Amino acid sequence: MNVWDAARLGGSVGNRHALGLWHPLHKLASLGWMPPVSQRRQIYGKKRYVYVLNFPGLSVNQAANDRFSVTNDFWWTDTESSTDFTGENTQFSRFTVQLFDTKAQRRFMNFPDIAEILGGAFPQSDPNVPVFPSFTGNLNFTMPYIHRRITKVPAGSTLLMRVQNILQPAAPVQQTVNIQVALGGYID
Amino acid sequence: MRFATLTTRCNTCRGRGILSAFGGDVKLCPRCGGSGQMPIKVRRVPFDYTFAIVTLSNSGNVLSQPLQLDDDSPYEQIGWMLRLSPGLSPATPSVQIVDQSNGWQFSNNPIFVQNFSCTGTASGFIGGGLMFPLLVPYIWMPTAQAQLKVTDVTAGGSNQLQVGMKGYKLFAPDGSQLNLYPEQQQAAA
Repeated sequence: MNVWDAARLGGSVGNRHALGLWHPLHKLASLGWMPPVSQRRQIYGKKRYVYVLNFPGLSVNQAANDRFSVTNDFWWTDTESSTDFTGENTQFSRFTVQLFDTKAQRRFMNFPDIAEILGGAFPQSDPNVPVFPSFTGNLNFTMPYIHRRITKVPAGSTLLMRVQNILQPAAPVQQTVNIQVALGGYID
Repeated sequence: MRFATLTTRCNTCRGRGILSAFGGDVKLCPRCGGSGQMPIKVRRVPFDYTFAIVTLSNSGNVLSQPLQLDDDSPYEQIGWMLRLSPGLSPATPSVQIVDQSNGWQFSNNPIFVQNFSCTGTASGFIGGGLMFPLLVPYIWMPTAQAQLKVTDVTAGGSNQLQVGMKGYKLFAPDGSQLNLYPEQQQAAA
């Protein structure tokens, strides 16, 4: 990239000084998690709502389905997913998610997404930092994934979700995990 | 059920968004751009509301924590804050929040705290990271009551959970109390 054209990038503030030619030109603070104004315009005046899907008690390699119907137009803006921390389930575990729109016959992924792909970046927590006194290790939840493009799910649609627990580490007692996936958005 | 927005009806087109033009045609209202709504001028004062700290101790209990908002102004909420302090054992409380003034629930089921507002960890605390932003601010009416329901699935120990709202109190430009429904006043007059 020609550095003299760098100022044409969105969000840039121009060259600061000659010796800083190769320094990042983007603003030091930005709304990294916000969709652009052109996308947010379509949800103006709407209200926050989260569809929550629970998949309790999944053992290793067990899959489960759940579905929900959208009664009003739903603008899907973010996704979160996690397992619970109860009991021995604080161990690192993974699961995959598939999502279908049964009305539009639309798939949202061609292959089951591992949860951290669906829900955003996995927190890079320090295994040596105790989250709870009885537990040191990675947290098994994801950062929220806020979409850059807002997806409209029309009223009357039924979204089908399939979740599979793909990994359960060695534990003193083989236990199940409770998985929850939340689809956040805005409705009228 | 009526929800507040920071707009009022456009007086030029009377909320229709269109104007009659010569020859029977119609055109978009040039003042509001066809939306029929005009923004209300407000003065924003930063303000945070926080629910009282909920101490989680018993498994399976549903704890309810009300929060009465002030009566001096509407409140424009721009995000959620959440912090779960570590107790004696791991915990996954689920939360659900209701606006009692209009019955609005923010989710169809209780949400794990990690899914509700967690944008990172700080010093090992869950939810000690950043504010979870609302892409569209939610307007709480004066004297509205927010209800926080916490489903405690703690196996034992005593974890402490606090949920807060970040946003702005809304006043009229001169600092007086803001009227979100001026057209109703006009109709009543």
